[in-house]
Amino acid sequence: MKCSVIQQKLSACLDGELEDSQNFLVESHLKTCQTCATEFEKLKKMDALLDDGVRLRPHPYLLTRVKASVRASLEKQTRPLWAFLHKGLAPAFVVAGLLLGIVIGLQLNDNLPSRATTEQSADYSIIDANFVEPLPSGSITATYVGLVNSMQ
Amino acid sequence: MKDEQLVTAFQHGERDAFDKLVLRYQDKVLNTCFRFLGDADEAHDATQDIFIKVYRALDRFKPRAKFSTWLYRIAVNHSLNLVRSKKRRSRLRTFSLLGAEQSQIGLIVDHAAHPDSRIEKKERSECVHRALEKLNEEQRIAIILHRFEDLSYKEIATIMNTSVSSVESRLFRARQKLAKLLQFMLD
Repeated sequence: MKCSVIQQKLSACLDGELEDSQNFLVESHLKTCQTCATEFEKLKKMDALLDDGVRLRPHPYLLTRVKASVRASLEKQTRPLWAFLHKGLAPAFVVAGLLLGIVIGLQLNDNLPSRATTEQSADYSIIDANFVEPLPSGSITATYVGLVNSMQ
Repeated sequence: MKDEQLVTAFQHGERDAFDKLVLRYQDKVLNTCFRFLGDADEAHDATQDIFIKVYRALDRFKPRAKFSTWLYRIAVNHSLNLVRSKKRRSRLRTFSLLGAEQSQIGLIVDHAAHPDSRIEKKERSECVHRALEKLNEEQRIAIILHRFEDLSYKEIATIMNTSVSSVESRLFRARQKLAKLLQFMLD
């Protein structure tokens, strides 16, 4: 067999991928041909160079990360439309809530003084009419109450 | 449990079967990516992306081919896409084994070895990686799957969708080219 044909088989011979008959032919040739034998040795050395012994170690959380990513994408796919709208309109909802709060607050503010006045008058009337003894005439307190009543 | 049984279990709703497949193949996928990309961090990211793709497609996987063949094909294609886009961007990073060694992830290197021999090993790896980059894609796939992942010619032929004789020819040419490129290290 020609050297050029043998040399094309050297790579497969090195890998143990030749059929028995072909392997026998190549090995027989290598015993008698110095050129091909040198070529074979060179190939072996080159192959040994590729064995740099470097292997990366898988990340300990690879599986966790993969599953988390898959879960996140699944949730994204199955999320209803309103959830997206809710997320997209969240700032608008916050602003609307604040405005509503302010309006209600203003309304209450308008109503509170009149309510307080009513309550105060009610208190005064309760004090005057039902739950206190009549003030002694000519006392400072009786004079003050008389003044207040004349102003109302 | 065989791969095919795990795949069937997954397709019948047993999602935990996927965990076993990841644990079984994470090392092979990671190191295949690493040989193509030459960068530890990128290889870790690529591995994660590959398993996410696998999870999404596993329900549709038809067991006409072996699971491992399918997985290697995804790993090779994904890695090659990354390499191509890296080349397009012309932002090829340097092959930084030392950086990976210092990172949390780390490499399986002989820490008991003398620092000089570690540097020598690192330099050798860099040279090998640069030489691998000079091969055409078909030769590179063949040599990486054969020399680093120890796959047979037949398995490589199935992954590359070609004949065994083509794989033989690609490996022969790849070795010829590598021998020339690494000649200075052989002397």
